[in-house]
Amino acid sequence: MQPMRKMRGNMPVKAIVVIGETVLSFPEMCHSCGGCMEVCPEKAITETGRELGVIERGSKNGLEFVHGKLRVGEAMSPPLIRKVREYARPEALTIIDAPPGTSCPVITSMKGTDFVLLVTEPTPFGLHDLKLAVGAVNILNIPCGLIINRSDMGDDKVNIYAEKENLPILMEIPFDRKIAEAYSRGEMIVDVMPEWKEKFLELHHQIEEMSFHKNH
Amino acid sequence: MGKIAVSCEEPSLDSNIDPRFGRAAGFLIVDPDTLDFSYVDNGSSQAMSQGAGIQAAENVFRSGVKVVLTGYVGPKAFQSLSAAGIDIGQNLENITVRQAIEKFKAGEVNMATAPNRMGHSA
Repeated sequence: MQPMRKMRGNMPVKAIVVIGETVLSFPEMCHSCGGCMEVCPEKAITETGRELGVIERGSKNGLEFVHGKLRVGEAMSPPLIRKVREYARPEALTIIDAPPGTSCPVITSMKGTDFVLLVTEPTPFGLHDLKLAVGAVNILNIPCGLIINRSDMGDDKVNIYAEKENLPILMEIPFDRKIAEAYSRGEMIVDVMPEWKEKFLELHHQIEEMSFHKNH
Repeated sequence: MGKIAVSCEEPSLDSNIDPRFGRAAGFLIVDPDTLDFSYVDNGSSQAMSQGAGIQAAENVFRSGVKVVLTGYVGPKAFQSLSAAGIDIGQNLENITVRQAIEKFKAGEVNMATAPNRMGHSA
């Protein structure tokens, strides 16, 4: 059992446990680091696949869409996110919709991108999470800018913070029932309110100017 | 009678039982006959994002107990403790370690046959 203990000691997560003379494995805890195969002197451990979720694809009006659906009960989404990102074509503009926060799925979504567009709200809660997100983006050293959603609510503390941190506010979207209604029907803001089309084109232009790709 | 591990908030017989098994602050390892005890810190499990119950089960196993008294045990901790041949008394809450031991000795603790908490996902 000694080599087994050695293996356990090497493991970053609790996927293999040795209790007395019993060895237990918890497949859903495995991060596929391969460390256990590396240290097992008997070469008793082999690798196998496990379904984390499914990837679905579609297209409309020349836009390609890919998403991953995590298996219900699955604890880890980054491996699935990496698989979805493999579908990105380097020559095409790729927009990745990341979850909120600063957890592993967010980092996995942002890593290696040319620009991070942070969408926030002008509320204490929005500002709190924005500061954390900006901290993560700065560590990854990716250019970023802000969109303030529901910009006519809350207070001006996000604007003050943005100015202090030298974060460009690229767009402000007011709280508008028409936008919410369109969204709830799965329609895009630019289709329902054509006056926004110009603003989004300008946003795209600004992002291109600021992007890592452009400046390196 | 073999030694008993009780999940607790502080290293004392008069500490409240910590109802969380995996993320308990620590375990009091008690001799139910003499009430002599030692303390096993579980702080390293509290800091884990996942797998706290499994690590806590390892900590408890190493102390050589045959019985655990606690509040809630998740599926992985339950599987680990079962593999170790450790009996689990669960659903204990809002009582002290001393009271939990007395209840156990009086046969008033229901011994678990299944986990009573869902696992957590991150």
